[in-house]
Amino acid sequence: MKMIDFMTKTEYMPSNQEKQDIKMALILPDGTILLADKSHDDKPMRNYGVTGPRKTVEVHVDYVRILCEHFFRDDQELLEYANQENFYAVIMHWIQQGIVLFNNSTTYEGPTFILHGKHGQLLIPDDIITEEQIESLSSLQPFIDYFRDIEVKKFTTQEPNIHAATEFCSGNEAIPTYLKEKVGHAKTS
Amino acid sequence: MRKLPKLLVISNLDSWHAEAFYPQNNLRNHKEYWELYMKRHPNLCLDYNQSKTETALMVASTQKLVWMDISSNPQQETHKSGILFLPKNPSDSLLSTLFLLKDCLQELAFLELVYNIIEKDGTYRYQSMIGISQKGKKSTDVIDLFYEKYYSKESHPIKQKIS
Repeated sequence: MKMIDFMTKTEYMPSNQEKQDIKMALILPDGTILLADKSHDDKPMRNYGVTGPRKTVEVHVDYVRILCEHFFRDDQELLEYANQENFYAVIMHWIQQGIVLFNNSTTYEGPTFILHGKHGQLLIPDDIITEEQIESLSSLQPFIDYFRDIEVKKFTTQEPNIHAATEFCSGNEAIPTYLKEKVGHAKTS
Repeated sequence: MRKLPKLLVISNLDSWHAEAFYPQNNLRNHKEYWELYMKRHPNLCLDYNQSKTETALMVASTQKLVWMDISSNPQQETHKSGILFLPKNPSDSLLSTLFLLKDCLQELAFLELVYNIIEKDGTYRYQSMIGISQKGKKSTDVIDLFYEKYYSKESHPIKQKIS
């Protein structure tokens, strides 16, 4: 299993602090993890070879633009969504391609953040997830342990429209609960 | 694109009763909009431990339809994204309102329609359908799909009125 910093395109070797500051992570169908922490906030976009409406990395879509340019350059549809700053269309495009996604959705700052912690989303294309991705999910655990509340969304992508079943878990429960359920299903089917 | 409210709450029992909260520069995040809503409804209490989605689920559980603009960039005028939370057993008048909302939301790039909200032990589960405007399809098509899946075309009088 490879872990790559999608902002710098180098192998990711996080410190404990960086593990607490994950911004976004993708698990590709082959099990490769592409991720980035918040250490890139406020850095110039040109450092990453990408231009956009903002000069510095500020919001989620800035990370998404860089990620798309670095790893999905051949996917014109995806690049178009990224350029439109159409964040959720990018996310759903990835889900339809069988990519697992973790997103730090915390928006609070200051005292509210200190008191109430981080919120995240774990988005899983449940019907097409691969064994490699299931193995890689465990490697993501140390990064999301610190989250107070995670929205776990299991997608069904084979129907004409995308359907999802959502529940909320704490950071230390989200992945173990999903894995237990998935392995349980595999044993009974 | 029409100016969309950041939050919109419509009563299931009286769909003429709607409260809209439009973007304001002095409000930084959804929580601050929800604070405004709660001030008008002292019977509800804002739980600061909940995310914006959980707060919306909580309000939808009090027999309300909730619209929440979740566009990733607040300054964004196009390609907007949002979630519609439906209460349990939506009334006929609320379903009619849902179709009226469809017109207002037709330029949305992403729409999630949340239904079957279940609250247990202080946490929520729900199901949803997701629509994306792409390849000639509109994100609001999920409203039709939802209707077709859960409400019979022939037997439901509201459907006939709408069409």
